[in-house]
Amino acid sequence: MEADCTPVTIFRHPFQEGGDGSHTLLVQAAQRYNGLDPGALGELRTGPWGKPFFPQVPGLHFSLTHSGDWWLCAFSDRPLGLDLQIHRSYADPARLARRFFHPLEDAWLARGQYRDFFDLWCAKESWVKFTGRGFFDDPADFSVVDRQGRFPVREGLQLRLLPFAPGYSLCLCARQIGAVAWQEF
Amino acid sequence: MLQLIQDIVYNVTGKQGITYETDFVQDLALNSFDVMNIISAFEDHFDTTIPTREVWHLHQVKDVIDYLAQKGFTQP
Repeated sequence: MEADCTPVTIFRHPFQEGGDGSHTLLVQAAQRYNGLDPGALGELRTGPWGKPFFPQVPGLHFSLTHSGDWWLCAFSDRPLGLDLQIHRSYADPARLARRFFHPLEDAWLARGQYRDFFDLWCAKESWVKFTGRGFFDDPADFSVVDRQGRFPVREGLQLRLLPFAPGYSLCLCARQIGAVAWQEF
Repeated sequence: MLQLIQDIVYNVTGKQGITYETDFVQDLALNSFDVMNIISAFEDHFDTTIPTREVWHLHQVKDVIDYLAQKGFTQP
């Protein structure tokens, strides 16, 4: 049902080291998203595993990500996770997959010569951002590929790969993803 | 050990100017993928496996130095 879907607004902003910090960008985007006055958001705190939240606005859910030249933040009235990753790795992706990914994921990637490595990474990361636990759980302990070889999947959730700029992967995770709107700022 | 961390972080991410107090996320703007690559580089250097769940709470360079010392890793 549409009423059960999670409508999402994703804000995007060019990311420069030494430019506006992620916290500043988050506050600006959050104010635009929900129209609150500066200060109404209150203090930003982090949960036990590092997920940030605004205690004064408990219905405001968001997920931050940055990679390469971009900073993104997805907002909704329900929990969600978002991850962006530029297609650039110091270590060989095949080696990283064997070391850090679930065997089902590594086998699935190997069948495609690791072409989808960054999509898979983003799917995993969007899920751990949804749960709020980050990688305090070993990334090899869970899979976003099922035994039938379907990707991306997590039981009871939706993982949706979203189109973004060339050379980037982007994935959104929520219970049931509704309309996705974009805002530049 | 600080020099080793500086070398690894520079090789993996291109970031410089690292001190004992540098925070990997706040100061270097590293993301989880960068951290995974850095873990991989440390594992290569020490020819070992570092349990990933043990490293995500290491925020600053000095935390990594303490962790490596605790685990008995010394710079060859």
